[in-house]
Amino acid sequence: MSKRDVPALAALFLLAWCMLLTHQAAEAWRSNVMLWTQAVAVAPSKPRPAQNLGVSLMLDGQVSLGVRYLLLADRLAQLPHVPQIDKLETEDKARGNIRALLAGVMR
Amino acid sequence: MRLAFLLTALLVAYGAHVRYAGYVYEDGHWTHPAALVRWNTRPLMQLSMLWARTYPQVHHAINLSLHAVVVALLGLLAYRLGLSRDGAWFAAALFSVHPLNSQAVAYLSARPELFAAIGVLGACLAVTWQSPYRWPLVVLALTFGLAGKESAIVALMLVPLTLATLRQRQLAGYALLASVLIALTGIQAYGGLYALINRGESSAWHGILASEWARIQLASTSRLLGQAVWPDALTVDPDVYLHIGITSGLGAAAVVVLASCAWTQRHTRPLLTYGLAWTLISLAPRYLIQTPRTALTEHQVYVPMMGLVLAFASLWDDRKGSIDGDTKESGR
Repeated sequence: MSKRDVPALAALFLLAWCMLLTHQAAEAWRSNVMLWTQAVAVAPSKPRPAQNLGVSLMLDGQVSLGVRYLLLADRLAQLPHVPQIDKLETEDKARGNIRALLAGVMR
Repeated sequence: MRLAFLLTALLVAYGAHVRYAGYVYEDGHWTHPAALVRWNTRPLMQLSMLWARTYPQVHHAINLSLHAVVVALLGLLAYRLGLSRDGAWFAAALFSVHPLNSQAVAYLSARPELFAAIGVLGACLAVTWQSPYRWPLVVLALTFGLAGKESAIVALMLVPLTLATLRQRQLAGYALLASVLIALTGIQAYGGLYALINRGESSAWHGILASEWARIQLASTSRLLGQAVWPDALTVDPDVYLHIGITSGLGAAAVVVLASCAWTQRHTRPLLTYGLAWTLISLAPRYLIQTPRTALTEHQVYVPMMGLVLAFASLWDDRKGSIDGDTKESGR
């Protein structure tokens, strides 16, 4: 390998690494459950991802797991760094989620 | 060969997603029949949804095709601006598979961003042609972009930047003009904040301070610039409030550093300056049009990301050129 090949090899390595990461990142957008599972993994102290994962799981038929995430979201909303607006939003959404779930069950 | 590599890279990165992904998050807003007949400020998105209504695979393929068009236009622009063939190819390839762009490509509701990017790049590319039709083409491309998403308005600042870089003019005058435009945007943002807040989705938006709003966007900027370099925590819903004091400070520092680099390198590395200025200029209006309380997300930095990629590709191209030059010298 000559010195001339270094930039090209570095570029190929970088592109291959990006390609793999992009493949993984795009996979997260396959379904709501996968999307919010990844969001919870990245932001474990934020209530909204936990809440949305809870709802997605319940709509996917995984009710008991979904309820656990909804309860987690409720606990996270009480953390000091969560702004008041997000706490209110979590409560608002909880009511909306119950309505959506009831509508889903009724169907 | 290069084209085959690019297509393969795109298929490896997004092929499985196109085949198996469904509708997620807010896609229901666009796929709902009511959304297709309601007046919308993004007609291209509406038309594209009308055209292929049912199958998510078709929609994901459309997004990927639009991304491929953006990649081709970016490579062409890089070449027209003076990068070598290899440099332009590298810029296009890096943008095509950079993970930070995955949200814009994989999320159907982010498609307006792709239309806007085509419009912005089309306008900047058109201005590089020595043809009497170039200005009508610029207008046409800008109109296309705006029909995709209002954020394409940044082309009004990026087209003069492209022209100034292409003609090797001193960028001082342009930088002054851009600064004035950005300052006016900032003043308008601050002045219009109250009205913007009151147009919010719920009464709970009331009471947000302009300083808090700026902190949220700066913290997001810091996160997104970090993800552009080391994309290990991509997400649809980041926790920007966590350590917001530190992250917003880092965001402000990053913006200052990028602006300083752009300014100091304007004579020696005009394409680096071009890329960094592109990023800052296309990011600036985001502070204005962002809905209060919502942070900048990954698909919204699709156009600013082009500038970072161009800047990085220009550095790579310089390095490769100097190594090639050294090798030729030693070979004589």
